[in-house]
Amino acid sequence: MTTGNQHSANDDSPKESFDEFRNSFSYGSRTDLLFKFLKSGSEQLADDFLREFLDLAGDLIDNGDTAPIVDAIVRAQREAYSGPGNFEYDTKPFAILDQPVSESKIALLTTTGHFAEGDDPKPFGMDGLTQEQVVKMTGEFGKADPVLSEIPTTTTRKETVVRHGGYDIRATAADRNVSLPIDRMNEFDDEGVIGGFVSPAYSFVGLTSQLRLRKEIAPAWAAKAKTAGAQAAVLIPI
Amino acid sequence: MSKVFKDRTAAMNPARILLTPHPMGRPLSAPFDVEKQRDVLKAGLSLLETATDGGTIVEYEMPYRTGPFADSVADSLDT
Repeated sequence: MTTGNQHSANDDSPKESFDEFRNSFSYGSRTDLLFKFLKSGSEQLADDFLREFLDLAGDLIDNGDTAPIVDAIVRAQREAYSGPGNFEYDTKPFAILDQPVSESKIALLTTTGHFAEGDDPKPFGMDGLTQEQVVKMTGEFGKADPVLSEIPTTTTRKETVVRHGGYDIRATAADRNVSLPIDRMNEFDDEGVIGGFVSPAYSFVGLTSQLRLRKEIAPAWAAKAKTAGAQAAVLIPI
Repeated sequence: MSKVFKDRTAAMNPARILLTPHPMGRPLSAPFDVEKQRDVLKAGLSLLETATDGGTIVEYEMPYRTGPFADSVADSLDT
């Protein structure tokens, strides 16, 4: 069996280097958003990870223990994304909560790209974009202003949609509470763990123009949450 | 959030950060791990009361665990 990515011994087409192979997982011919870090780290990191990953897959077949393979993925992702990145700030914003959490109204904001069914944020004016389409549009998203989705906290799981070209959405598509814990916050509200859960919850695609977000858009969103009654907020970056 | 991005997040000095030892895209838990979701969220909320300075970083120690989480799966199919 051959595919577009395979090269047989008699194939005269150019051979793929290991560097090209690992890079293809990040918005290339083998795009896989869980493993796109293979491009972000060094070639040696990718080599070491894949050897360990295959070895652990062999163990998994025999003992069913997923913990070592999860640990290997987290270690490799952390190494690949090590260092401060493009944004370093000297200031340390901080405010003391004026009342206990159990008496505080808490807002929820995530960068996960969730929205309520029927309320598509329509990036670039386009309604109904698929996950596959936005994965191919990450460059455009990185330069555009984010759109804030307001998700009423009564929205059911079936009515919740997620779409984001920057990360593997499979887990949160199966269960929104993986990164948009509306059900857990509603429980905490009912149980008195928090003083109240501010509706709506908020979400946007974090893959966006960071400068405009920080200087203009985020302060406006914070004011919106405050108007909705928020005394504190849980922020969940993906 | 996942500790995968610890360096990048710490460099931004947000007020309070709870880091989980989870793969990217799964900051609270694996799907339907309700117990873990509640525990992580409570740990994050507690920072609202316990942190005393901006840039506070706390690492959540319990490892990521995989399912199936049968009861929660059945529940999720209803809503």
